[in-house]
Amino acid sequence: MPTHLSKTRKHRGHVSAGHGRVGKHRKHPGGRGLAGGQHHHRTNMDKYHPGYFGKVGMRYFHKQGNHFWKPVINLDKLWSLVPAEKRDEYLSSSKKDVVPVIDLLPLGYSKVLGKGRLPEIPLVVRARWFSKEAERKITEAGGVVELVA
Amino acid sequence: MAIKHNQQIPHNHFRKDWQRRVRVHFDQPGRKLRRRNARLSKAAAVAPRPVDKLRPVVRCPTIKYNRRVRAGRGFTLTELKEAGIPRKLAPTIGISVDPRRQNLSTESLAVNVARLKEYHTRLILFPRKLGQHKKGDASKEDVSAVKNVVTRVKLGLPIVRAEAGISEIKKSDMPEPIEGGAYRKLRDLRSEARNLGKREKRAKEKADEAAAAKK
Repeated sequence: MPTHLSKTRKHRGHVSAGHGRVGKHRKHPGGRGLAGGQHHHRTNMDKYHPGYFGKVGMRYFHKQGNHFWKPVINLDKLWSLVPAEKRDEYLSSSKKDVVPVIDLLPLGYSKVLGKGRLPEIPLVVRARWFSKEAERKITEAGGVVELVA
Repeated sequence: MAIKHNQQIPHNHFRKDWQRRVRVHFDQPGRKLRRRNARLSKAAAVAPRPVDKLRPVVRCPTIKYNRRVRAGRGFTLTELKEAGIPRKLAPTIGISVDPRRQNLSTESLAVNVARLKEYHTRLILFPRKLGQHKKGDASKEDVSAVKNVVTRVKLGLPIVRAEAGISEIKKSDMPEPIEGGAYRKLRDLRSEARNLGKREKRAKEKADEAAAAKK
């Protein structure tokens, strides 16, 4: 900043240079950083940062994500796993005597959920888990549900 | 600065000392060359043997990865016994042995025994000293007839990864639906597993009571 814009020159000779005699210009009057979040700055923290302090929930020691591996797929996405041209063949029912088998484990899915609708075409679905609704819809479409380990 | 107004809470990491942890890999091209030379010299030194050993097919651990198979450390003693290979001989003919591994399923045992047998049929064991033929060595004609040898067992007997996700079967071959439904079965199995101890205890108590009443 150029010197002519700053008021410093004009403050020369005045005792406290505009910072007051009573309050004084001190370095960190309220503490540095986040000091006093639960004490003298409590009002601000409560008002603008609710939930900053404290914990929620229960502890789970040595939780490993792999033990909870169960990626889900809904029924509306099930047919999209079949390659497009093959899918058309099945959907137009030009292949009368064969049914597609969708083995979901190598495709990276563990559980089948029941959202969406299935075309009335028999198919075999292999997975580790099925929801009740998913199983009902697959069997109603003429398909078969298979469980794998 | 004290806490003022509706600002983001500062969360600065100024004490990381990151420059101490930086690693550079300027030796990468040189290292690549050194590795290559080492590989070549090893291959030349062990020829006509392959560079690596025969490894078993094992399933990866945890629910997430047990759909995959990979090469394991070594064959179990059970597998060797089943395949009829003496366990002291195995490491001398290029089969890795891991005495700690266990065969928890018959499937894993069968796969690896088949692998061992396949290896054994393809193996041409040279006599240690030329002309001094010992038991178990390949015959002289076999040794002299050797032409194309594999430099790596890995390539000769590859471990085949996972089957494709989409296939098709005949309509008549469609599997039977699970009795009572797959969902019901899953729930029943879960309850079975969870209540196993309780049910056993109850049955035992009942049996004890009956026995006491008899007396």
